[in-house]
Amino acid sequence: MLSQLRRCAVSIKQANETLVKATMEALAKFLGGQVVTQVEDFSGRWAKVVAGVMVPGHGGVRGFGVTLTGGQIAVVGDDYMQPMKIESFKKLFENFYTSVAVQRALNAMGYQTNANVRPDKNIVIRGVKGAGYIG
Amino acid sequence: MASSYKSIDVAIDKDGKVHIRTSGFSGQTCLKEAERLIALLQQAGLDVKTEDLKLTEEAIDTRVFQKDSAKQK
Repeated sequence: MLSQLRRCAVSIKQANETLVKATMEALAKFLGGQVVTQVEDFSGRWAKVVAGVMVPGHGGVRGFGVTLTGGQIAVVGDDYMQPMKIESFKKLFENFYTSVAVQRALNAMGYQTNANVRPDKNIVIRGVKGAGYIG
Repeated sequence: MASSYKSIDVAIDKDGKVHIRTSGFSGQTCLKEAERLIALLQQAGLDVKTEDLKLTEEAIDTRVFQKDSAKQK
């Protein structure tokens, strides 16, 4: 038997709205926030997003969100006095988007999946199928 | 006796790199399965470029093999 170890560089090229929403659901769960369709800036102005997440912060609960234009994503939000910076959120969103896409792809290939999100480390997804699986 | 158990482990690191490890595939079918996964990721809007690929003889997973042989008894 052969096994392989493969390393890939991955980036979002043409985002899918359904996956963006599923990603935000997963992020909200991970961050302990809630999914929203508008985010607020420090001055109280609101912006519509395809999906966003409100996260607890000592500058107010304003949230970060994502807009989609022709498949291109843009992360919007105001990180002034927020514990999480917008660049950190963007990286987290991209990694979660990839993890949701991986899980759905493995499911479509007939694998049962299990995801393990380790804060500040890796997101690990295990896909298994076939007889002999102990679990 | 080969097991029909197959697994694909995918780790997404902090930098967004994706690491894929397959197990339980005979011959080079592991390559085809990983390429199928990559094709589905591309359909989901991701740009995926393989940077490194290593093929290794798989270590025997005795846990799985023991279960298979127990079933035959």
